[in-house]
Amino acid sequence: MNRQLNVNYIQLFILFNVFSLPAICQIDYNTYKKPGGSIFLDDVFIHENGDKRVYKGDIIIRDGIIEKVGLALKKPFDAITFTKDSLFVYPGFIDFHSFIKNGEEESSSKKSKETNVKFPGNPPDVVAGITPWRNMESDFEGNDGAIVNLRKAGFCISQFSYSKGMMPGYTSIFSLGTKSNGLLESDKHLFSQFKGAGRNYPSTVIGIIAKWKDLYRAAKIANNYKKSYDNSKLGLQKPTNNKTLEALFPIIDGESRVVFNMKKKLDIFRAVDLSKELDFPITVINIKGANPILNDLPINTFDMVLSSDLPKKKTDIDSSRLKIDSVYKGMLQRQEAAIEDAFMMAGELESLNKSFAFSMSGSDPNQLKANLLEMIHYGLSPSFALKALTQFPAEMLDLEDVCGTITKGKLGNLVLSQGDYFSKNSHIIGVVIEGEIIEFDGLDEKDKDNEMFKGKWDFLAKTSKQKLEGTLNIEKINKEFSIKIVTEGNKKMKATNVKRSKESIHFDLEMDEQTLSFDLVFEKNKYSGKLTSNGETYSLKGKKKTPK
Amino acid sequence: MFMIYKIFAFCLLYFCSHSIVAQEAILIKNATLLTITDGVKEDTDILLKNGKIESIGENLSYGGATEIDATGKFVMPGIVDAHSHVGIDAVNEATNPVTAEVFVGDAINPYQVAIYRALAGGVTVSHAMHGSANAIGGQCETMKHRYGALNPAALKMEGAPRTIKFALGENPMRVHGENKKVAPASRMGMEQTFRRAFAEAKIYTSEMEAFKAGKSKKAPLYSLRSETLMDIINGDIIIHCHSYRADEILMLMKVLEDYGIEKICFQHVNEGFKIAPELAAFGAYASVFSDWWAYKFEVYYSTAYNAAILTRNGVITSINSDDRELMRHLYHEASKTQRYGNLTDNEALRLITINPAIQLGIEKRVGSLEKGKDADVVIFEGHPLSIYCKPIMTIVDGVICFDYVNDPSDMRLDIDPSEELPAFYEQDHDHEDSCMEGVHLH
Repeated sequence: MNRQLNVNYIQLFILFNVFSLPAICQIDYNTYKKPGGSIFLDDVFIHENGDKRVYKGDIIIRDGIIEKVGLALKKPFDAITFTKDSLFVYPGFIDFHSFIKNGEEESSSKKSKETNVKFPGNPPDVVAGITPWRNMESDFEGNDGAIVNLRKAGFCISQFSYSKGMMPGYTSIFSLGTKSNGLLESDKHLFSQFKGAGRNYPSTVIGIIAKWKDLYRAAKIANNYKKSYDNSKLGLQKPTNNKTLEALFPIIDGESRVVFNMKKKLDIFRAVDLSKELDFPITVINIKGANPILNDLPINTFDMVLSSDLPKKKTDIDSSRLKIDSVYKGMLQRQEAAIEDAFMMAGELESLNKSFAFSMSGSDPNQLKANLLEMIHYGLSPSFALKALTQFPAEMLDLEDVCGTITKGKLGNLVLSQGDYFSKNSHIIGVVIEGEIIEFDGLDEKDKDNEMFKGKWDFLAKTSKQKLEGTLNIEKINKEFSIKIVTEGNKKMKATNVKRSKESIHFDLEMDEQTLSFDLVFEKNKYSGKLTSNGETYSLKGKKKTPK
Repeated sequence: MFMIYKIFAFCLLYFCSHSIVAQEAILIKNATLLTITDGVKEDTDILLKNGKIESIGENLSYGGATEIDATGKFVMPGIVDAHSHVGIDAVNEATNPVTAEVFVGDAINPYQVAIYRALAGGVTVSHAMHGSANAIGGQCETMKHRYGALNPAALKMEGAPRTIKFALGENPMRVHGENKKVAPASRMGMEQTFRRAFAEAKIYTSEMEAFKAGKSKKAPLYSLRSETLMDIINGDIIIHCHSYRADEILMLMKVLEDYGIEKICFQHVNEGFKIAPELAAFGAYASVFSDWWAYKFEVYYSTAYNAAILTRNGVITSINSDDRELMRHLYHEASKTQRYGNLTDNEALRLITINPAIQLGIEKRVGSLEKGKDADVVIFEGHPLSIYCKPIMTIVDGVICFDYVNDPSDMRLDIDPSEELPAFYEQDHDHEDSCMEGVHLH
């Protein structure tokens, strides 16, 4: 038990000090329970998937996998129970694409030196932004601030790529738990975008498209030759080693697809035309503002991933000018119609029965829910919205056997919402990622008033030098906990550095020029925990004193 | 309130997009037809149906056709601009002196209001060109001004021959030689850049053909650039070459002769008047400005008589815009050849109709009013060569795309929901030299 708690707090230390500096004072911001054993979600509202109606039931997750979903399940003996009034549970959201920050964020001088090549018209592939062979697994860090934000929005899985150049590399899919080994699948899709190489070739959209055609056709020839060579080497030269072309072989062989990132709606046509000409499947991501062109797009020939970003409604209308300036009035009307169009796109796609997912690489995860509610107001159904966050991306990532619904055998990825997620006043209080419970500081006032800690508790702590026995008195003053220890001799000591999370409390006690650090986990009428002093750890436990 | 906006937007969108969908018949009555290839026909009707000119004659009738009374008005074929950069999102891939593989048709932007403004000047076809930053630039796109289409592909003039941009002189020398310190840095280097590109393409092609014929087991590294250059050598792509000085023009004709290339139209060709017989003998075309020069050193030796001299020497000549503003009054530009060179009305009008159509290889489709040709026509109030004329209606493929009287004031197709509303709508910015658009010199 002690060992387990130690690991927890070391990770907690890293979490707050390295990746959440702005939130360093908010120790409750993220807490987690180590996976292993089991989790029992007791009597919660379950949205198994976008098609099934919500019902009240239980979920058991063991070793990161959903073990059971149903009514009146028996709580496993080793389970951590999670229960709460009005707790709605959804399949963990899946972000189709995000960028990862990493070692490629180089200093400007080094970057300048690298891009200042002798022949800008024929730069090395790295300078040209063509690195399809790159792999980015080592750059994933579960506690990166961007990933924390994704989790707070309900995402449990995301597909990541680098962001530089026209062909930065293949994507990898990660579980967004705090663990560093969250890799689910590597080299999944080839990521591409119409992003030029500055002063080097290709610098424009026409250069990039031409380069794509050139590379792809060259790779096709190289792929055929390699197959011939592998079949019979007799009389054939060894294939030329070209890692860029070889990295395109999975696309040519139909084993992978290209994910095209959009900046504007005309990019969709360009990506679709390119894929049609070269004959490879694509997913177009970060689509926005495409409502007017839906009828012109062959939407059933490619996968669509929307940006969750929406334009802001106009608030700076010059009403005095509106009265006298008909041109201004007309332009304003058209702009407001365009804004409304953007809000309607998701609903339009649903009416066309076109499945889609969301990507967060061009969006603020904190705005996800607000924007979803706008989309729902303008025609998207909540069930389709849920699918777009869960089932559809799971299918697009070929992970439908792994995630996307609350189903026995799938990953224990859940979104925990206080109230119906698609209602205005609800909020996500946590996620479960492969059985790891991660709660957020979105606790409501009722929860903050949790009575569990308050009261008087038995207290007996022994170190190698001394024994401390008495009463642990926990009170709540102005939403903050005040902790005192009253010893048998009626000596009162006030605790400092009090921090609490959902079920645990940390505090320090100064005694004989020593600092005693307490970490206690409470459960109903008892607690257990540890005392750390001079680098040594001692266990302790106690019970709540029953009022006489 | 939002619903009102939606209805407004829908109506506008419908108005714009119906031009692509509708194939209604239009009967223009009692007009003065400037046919270009068959003289002037007064009090004549022209019936447009299914996107084509169905018939030309007197007292025509067609049930269900939209009739337009053009009494006292002039009807001419849609104007063709052989040199423009309108309707594309990228003009210069200015990173390499040879970029034959790039294609501006991959970056068509059908939402540019400049297309509509060109329609307001009677221009129905334009040749959207790569810029002049490179000796061998990219392939160009001949586009129909089907404004209202939201799909870029709808603007492509189906069946139009492939074309490519070449450039001589200061622009490529400055971009590559002076700025990037690579060849070509001189006019000598220009010639060698062309020769080397063609020579490499021929070597590549022989290796690729040997592979395809089974004589070689290993293919050369595929090169879209060399494939494109070989298409030029094989006559499948028409060269349109940015040029000013006579010596360089003669140089390029010699290079082309050495590689057996016959199809070339010199663009700008300000010193064309010096070598008009040589151009005619080669069979080269010339697409010129009426009176635009002196914007850089190599463009000083120029004359407004250029178009007339070239024409009189048997060079098929056109007048182009290379500029979204100039494109709106090409008929004025054509009329200047009457002041400077005494061209006839028909000769002057040929400069902006059938001649550029010939230069683009689309003369069987557009450039004159003939039965069976595309229904691209412009109705003018006043003769188009008069300074008082005004285009009042432009029809593309038999559909009204510009209507001076009935069009709404805001004809934008693409509204940015996030942009700040300006005091007035302005898409155009200064374009001192459109051919150098997108080039950043350091």
